[in-house]
Amino acid sequence: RIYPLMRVTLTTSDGASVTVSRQLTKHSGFIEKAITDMAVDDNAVPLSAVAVDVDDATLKLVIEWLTEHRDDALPYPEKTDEERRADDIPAWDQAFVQKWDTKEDQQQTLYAVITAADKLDIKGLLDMTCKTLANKINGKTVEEMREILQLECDFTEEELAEIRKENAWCEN
Amino acid sequence: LALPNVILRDLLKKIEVKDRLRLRLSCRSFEKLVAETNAGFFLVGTITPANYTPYIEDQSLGVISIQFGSAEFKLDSTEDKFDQFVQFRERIFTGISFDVFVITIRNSSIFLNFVRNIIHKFQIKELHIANLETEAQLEWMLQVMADFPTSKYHSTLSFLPETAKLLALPQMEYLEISEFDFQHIPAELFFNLLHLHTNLHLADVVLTSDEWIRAIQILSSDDRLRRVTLWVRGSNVVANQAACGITEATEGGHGGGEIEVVTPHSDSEDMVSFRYRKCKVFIDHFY
Repeated sequence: RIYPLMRVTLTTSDGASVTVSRQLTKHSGFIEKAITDMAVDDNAVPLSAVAVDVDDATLKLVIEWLTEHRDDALPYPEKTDEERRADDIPAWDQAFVQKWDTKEDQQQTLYAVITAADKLDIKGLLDMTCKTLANKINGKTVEEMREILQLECDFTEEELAEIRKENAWCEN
Repeated sequence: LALPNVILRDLLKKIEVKDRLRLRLSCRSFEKLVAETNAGFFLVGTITPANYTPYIEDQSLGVISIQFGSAEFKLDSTEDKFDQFVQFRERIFTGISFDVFVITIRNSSIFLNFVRNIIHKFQIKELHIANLETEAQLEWMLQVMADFPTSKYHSTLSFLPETAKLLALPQMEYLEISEFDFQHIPAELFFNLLHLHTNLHLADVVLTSDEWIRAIQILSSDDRLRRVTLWVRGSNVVANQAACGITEATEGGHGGGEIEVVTPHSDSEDMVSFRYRKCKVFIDHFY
């Protein structure tokens, strides 16, 4: 049973504290487990702090997403094969991610939110941000992919030539 | 890598095969990750001779076209190239899923072995095997079906196999038998096929008027959505229509017994459609 009025204080990795409704935190497998492990009485209002390994700025974005998705069904549905598609991100989520485009470190923000969603076990947010990253990679050149995924080429020219030769099976 | 491995594996299920190929070139870690991950789900995949034209005989095996989603691979039909491609395939994903996978087969044992090697780690919901021409190819198809026991099957045969072999086929979602000469499908065989398979497309079926009505009754009493296409001789059609109470003078809305004529010679001069309970029958191209 989830009591919507219950509130949980989250302490971030950079020392900030944020108090949020349990209605939001129920979407985080990590926070729910932490609360359960505290063995809080059903009728109590748990103000115990749950330490989350996420910085304040990223947690605020996570909470913004959770607020919009507070009524999403739980448990998050298991993904079927068909749901590999990355072009079905809801409009609100698309706008949410596009807001980061104005930030200088847009790529870092996306990575931080993906990592936070993974650590906090928020499946819906993780799925959406992975789709966003997939869309960023889609159709890009190798150099652009390296930039997006923050990769350094460690192949020799001969190794690259060999892989290009293999990839040439694909004519278009 | 900047992201945890579990996230990158999920990411690699959401991108196109062409993107996987480019990612192989990004760095050693990603080349390894591409080889060790599942490519995810695609609507359609195909293995077919390139520039294949149905119903044209004596086409050389030539170049083979393989499609995984939007990525098309072309390779010469030699044993060496087939072996190299199987090895290459193992470097671009561990597995892949398809809603529909279509194989247009050619009369070559090398080609048939190659196809089984390529698809053996695939997950396929609907397996379509087209252009079967010999009993040996039918045996091969049965082996492939055994490799994919939970798939639905579609198959197109351009010959009439031995009756025992034909009736031993697993249940098909769609079975087409057409383009064979000097043989017809007798009524008993037709009714067995009607009982075994969901959708049929059969050439040169010979039915008496009573058998024709029986077939319509069987289809009408079936709750499943089914489509049966029969190519029958013109004289047979006229007799069978007459048995249903349909003549040249029949008007829309009328017919014999429970048969209701829906379209007497309307859209095209040679088309009639009528309804019997839940079954709708279209008759066209008759003279």
